[in-house]
Amino acid sequence: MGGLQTGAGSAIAISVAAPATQDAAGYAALTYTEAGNCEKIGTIGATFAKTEFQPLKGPKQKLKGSADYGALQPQFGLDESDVGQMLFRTAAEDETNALYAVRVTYQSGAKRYFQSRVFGWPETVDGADPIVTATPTVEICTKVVRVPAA
Amino acid sequence: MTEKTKMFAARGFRDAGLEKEFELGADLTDEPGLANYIAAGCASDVNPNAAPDAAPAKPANAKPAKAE
Repeated sequence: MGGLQTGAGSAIAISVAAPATQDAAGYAALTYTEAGNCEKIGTIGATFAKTEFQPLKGPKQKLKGSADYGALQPQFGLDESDVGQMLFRTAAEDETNALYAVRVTYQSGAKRYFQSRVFGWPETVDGADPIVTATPTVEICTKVVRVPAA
Repeated sequence: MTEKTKMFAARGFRDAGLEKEFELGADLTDEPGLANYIAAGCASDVNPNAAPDAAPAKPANAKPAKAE
């Protein structure tokens, strides 16, 4: 049964392996490692460039242009003993264009799968009291596979 | 039959998803996330707890070395 949900209990996990197929079964077959101390995950979903044409006669025409699968910027409380965070950092430091599979699990149990490249692992020390954080930019490079809650 | 290579924790670390902690030298051979642990630099086939220059054990009936 559906309904509203909050972000509490959501999780992001990463895998070095590649799915055999770009579908739920392909992604579900992989082993993921969750990154701990995640404070926020970010925005998941494609956007399309807007292509416009204004004819001399008639209204402006708007067409869908190129797809951008988007990017998310999860925020972690930096924990150097957390293997999931370490794997995100490995992906960020990877100088090849290797893709890493990512699984985001919502509170409801619904999942979002995609392959990504991680562009950096910036760490922020923001004063005496706030926790030191890391905010990698995870660029989504494939169509997001959506799996509803069971 | 090929023998599985033993893999060990190259450092102490925590897997938040499995809610498990691994100490330095823990046996990771049969852990499901092993490929990820290796990629993250947390697993190695070198056992950090093994004595680095341990002399191989001599058989009980080994002859003493001759004096030169």
